[in-house]
Amino acid sequence: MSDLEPISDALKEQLDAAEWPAPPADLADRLLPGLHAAWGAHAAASAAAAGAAPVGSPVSVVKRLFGSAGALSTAGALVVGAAGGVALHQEMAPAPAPQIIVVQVPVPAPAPVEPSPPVEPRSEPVEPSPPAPRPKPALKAAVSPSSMAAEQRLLDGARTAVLRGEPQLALPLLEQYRKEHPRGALVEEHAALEVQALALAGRTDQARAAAERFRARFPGSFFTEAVDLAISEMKARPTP
Amino acid sequence: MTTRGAAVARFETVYRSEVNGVWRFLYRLGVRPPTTEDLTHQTFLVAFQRWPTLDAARPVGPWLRGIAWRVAADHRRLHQHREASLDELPESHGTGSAPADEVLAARRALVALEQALEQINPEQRAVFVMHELESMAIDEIAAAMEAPVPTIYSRLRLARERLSALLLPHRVGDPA
Repeated sequence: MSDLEPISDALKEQLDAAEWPAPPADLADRLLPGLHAAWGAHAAASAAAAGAAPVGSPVSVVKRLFGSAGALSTAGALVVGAAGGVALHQEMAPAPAPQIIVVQVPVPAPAPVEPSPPVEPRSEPVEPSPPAPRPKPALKAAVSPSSMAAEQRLLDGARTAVLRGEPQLALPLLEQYRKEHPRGALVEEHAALEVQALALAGRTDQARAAAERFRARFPGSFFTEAVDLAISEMKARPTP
Repeated sequence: MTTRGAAVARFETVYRSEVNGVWRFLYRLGVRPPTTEDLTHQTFLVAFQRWPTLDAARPVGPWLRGIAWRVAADHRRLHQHREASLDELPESHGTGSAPADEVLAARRALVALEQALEQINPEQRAVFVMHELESMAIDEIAAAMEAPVPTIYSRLRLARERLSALLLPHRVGDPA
């Protein structure tokens, strides 16, 4: 492992002085319809190619998406699905062979999730529309880069676990976030992920209560649709 | 709700959390509007297709940036010309009511940084952006770029040296 000296103060100062342009305020909503079409087409074609694979588990989703060969065009943008992998770019290495990945996150056993203490709404990275102009220095003062990175790492792990349908891994990370960042910048996303994880875990009463708290605390949130979906999906799914 | 619909819904949460960050990252790599938006779109197309291969122990943000970097690299190979001059940098949205001289200083600093970044090797620039601007750890960058850790250290050192040589004779806020 190489030793790396910290960046020089002078260069750091130059980096801090530059204010990068922000993305268009409506970027997420503008791109989403096209992505929905492409994602849905990809998932549908993968499911069709997989034939009678059982549905309902993350493992089955993995098998359906990667257990087949063939080409699929999504939204005219990409060609995917060569020999069980995804070859999207000339430079991109082939995806690993289909496998069930063993999770090695050192986390404690899942613990019940208590109601969140009142916290301030986050301000980054997603803003409700229309965003109010906000001076950058105020944001810098409120959230240090290291704190933000620590928050992001915890939620990244939880989000990946939810994405993979593994709430038993997501919930401890969310609990850790609550303890370490009770007034963090990403509390809104934390609250949304908590609803999704509880719903996935079949903890229906806690999920509904968490959803209620979320709607009360973050009216008009970017994540409201995802929270509502998690609850409706929970209703449609038999309790484990 | 079908399983397929649930998979899309869950991925949408990731998308909403990360889409602005991916746009910023692509911009910092030198991808200029309107291509920034196109490549952001493409990044999330690729990411949806690849997410079943994502190790749950690996955070999503750095993984997405690795995909975005490859998308941008492919685009750069196909479109070698610059898409917008530095004079055409979009107005920043983050300055709010900051005084005009502060806005001007921040803009000058950005232009100077952009000019310097344009002059370094693309791989070195990517490592520098990932580490210094996106707060990615060295091992995360190595995974994202599928390169050995010592190579990442080397690229970062070279990028710092080159940028220091290019930037530091001109202090922040000085007229070009």
